[in-house]
Amino acid sequence: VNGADAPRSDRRRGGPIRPLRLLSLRARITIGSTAIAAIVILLLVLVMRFQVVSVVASATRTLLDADADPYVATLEVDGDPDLSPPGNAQLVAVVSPSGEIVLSTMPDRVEQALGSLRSTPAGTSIITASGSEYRVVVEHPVNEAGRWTVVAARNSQAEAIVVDDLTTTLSLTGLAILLAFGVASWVLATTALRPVNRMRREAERLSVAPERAELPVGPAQDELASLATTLNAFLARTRQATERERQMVSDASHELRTPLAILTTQLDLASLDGNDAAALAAHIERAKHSVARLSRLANDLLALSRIEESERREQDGDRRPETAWSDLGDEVMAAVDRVRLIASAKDVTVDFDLEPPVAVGGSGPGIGGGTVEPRYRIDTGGMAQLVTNIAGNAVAALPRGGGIFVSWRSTGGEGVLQITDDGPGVPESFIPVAFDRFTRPDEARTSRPNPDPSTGAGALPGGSGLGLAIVRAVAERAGGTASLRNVPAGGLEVTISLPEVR
Amino acid sequence: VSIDSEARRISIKGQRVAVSPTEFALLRLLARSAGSVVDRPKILEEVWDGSQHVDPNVVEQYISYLRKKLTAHEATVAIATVRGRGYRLDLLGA
Repeated sequence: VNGADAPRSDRRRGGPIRPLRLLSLRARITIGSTAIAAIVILLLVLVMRFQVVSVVASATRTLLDADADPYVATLEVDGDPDLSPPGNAQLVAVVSPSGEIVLSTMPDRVEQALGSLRSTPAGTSIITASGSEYRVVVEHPVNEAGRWTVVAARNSQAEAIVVDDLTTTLSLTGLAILLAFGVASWVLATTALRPVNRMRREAERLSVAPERAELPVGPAQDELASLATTLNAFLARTRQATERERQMVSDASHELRTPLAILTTQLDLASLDGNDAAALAAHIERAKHSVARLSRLANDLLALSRIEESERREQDGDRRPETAWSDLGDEVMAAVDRVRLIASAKDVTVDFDLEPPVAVGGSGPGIGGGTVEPRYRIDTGGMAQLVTNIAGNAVAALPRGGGIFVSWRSTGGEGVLQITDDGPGVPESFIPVAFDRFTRPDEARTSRPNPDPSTGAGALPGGSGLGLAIVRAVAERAGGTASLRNVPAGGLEVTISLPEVR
Repeated sequence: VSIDSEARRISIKGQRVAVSPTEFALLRLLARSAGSVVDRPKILEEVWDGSQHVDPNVVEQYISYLRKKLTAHEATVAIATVRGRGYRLDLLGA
């Protein structure tokens, strides 16, 4: 199954992000945040560069305007001016209406372009003269002599150098910031993930010594603390279940040892009496009893583990069975019939009484007469286990001619199964542990006068010790309770209360 | 006494009486041959399928369970023991 599934899940996870998935969380956080920072820094550098370029351009234009303005002012009032050359490093040219260059500090290659500038409208433009770029301002002052052309120019190379210098500085700064950011996010991710590493180390230690260890819950109320709390709860539950199972296995093997030892002895004795047919038959008969006891024990263990298993499944969301009162009543009667079969051999009588719930708007008294019957979270098999285990115990405990009374009634939102006998009861010290596994009121059961030799019941030390444990497990699985008490008049009363399904 | 074979129910004087499956089978058997004797082997055969693991004492016990129920509900029928032969369902006052 894994082989068939793996490629599909690989495909699903595929795509361009896949190599990233192979990296550690720390590396992924660092790479991700650094990539985002890189984009932001790049955008910032571009915006700043654009801003600087436009600032430098407007500054140049202001300077060019300042270069040209004195000549324009003069020419607008004077038709034949006496023009003095501009200050140091200013490139200015004045062209008369006739096309004669009256004044020029321009290099020759720019002067060649002046002719064409006479026809361009006033304003700013960029011209290229033999490989160099010049930003020029053209003005056309007009006086009585005609339309003049004043041109102020600046080599934009200086501008470009400023912008380039700035771009370099910005880029280097950006790179430095990016590097610092990457290192910082690596350090931060490492710090943030440190509790995870600690938890991992703890879990590693835990797999070696799972009995005590717990994951550390940090002082902060963060996600990791709640994860640790959740995992600890899970661990505790698992540990509890494991402990319960371990205890069960240990108890069960202990319980199996005794009948197995007895059986071994019986078989040893039988092999010694190999020539005596009658003795051999007696040994075989006794061995059969031991085997019967072993198989009872095995069956009860299986029943108990099945109940616990289904309980686990229900906790995982499986639907609980629900059974109506009268169906459970039918099962009680059927189970009583089965108990009577064993009871009749000891001349023990088993009576029963069903008290149906008071029908709401029903057709009168009677089972199933009501419109809405109460339901309980138990299946008929569970009810059968309750009756046969409790009443079966009573049959074993009762002397010849005893009586058992089984009642199943519905009272105050509960279904009550009560099984009473008129036997010797149990020692008070047994009552608190009655429903625990592998406990038997052996003193009470075996010390009763004249155990009946014909049934062989007296020869066996009680049952598997699991009957009432199964009863409690069934009752609790149905959300109910199991209790028992000695009746003052003599005998034992076991009561199972099952809540109705609402 | 009315026996509803289909629903496996017994009513006495119109009142439903709870009987176990085995009690029902036994009463139905006796009722089918009401007035005449049904012997033990026949009962064991019909009600308990002739099972080897049944104590013969069980028939007597079940007769007693049924009698208790019949008298408790003041039924107009009774189960008579015919010594050495078996049991018979009689109509009271007939």
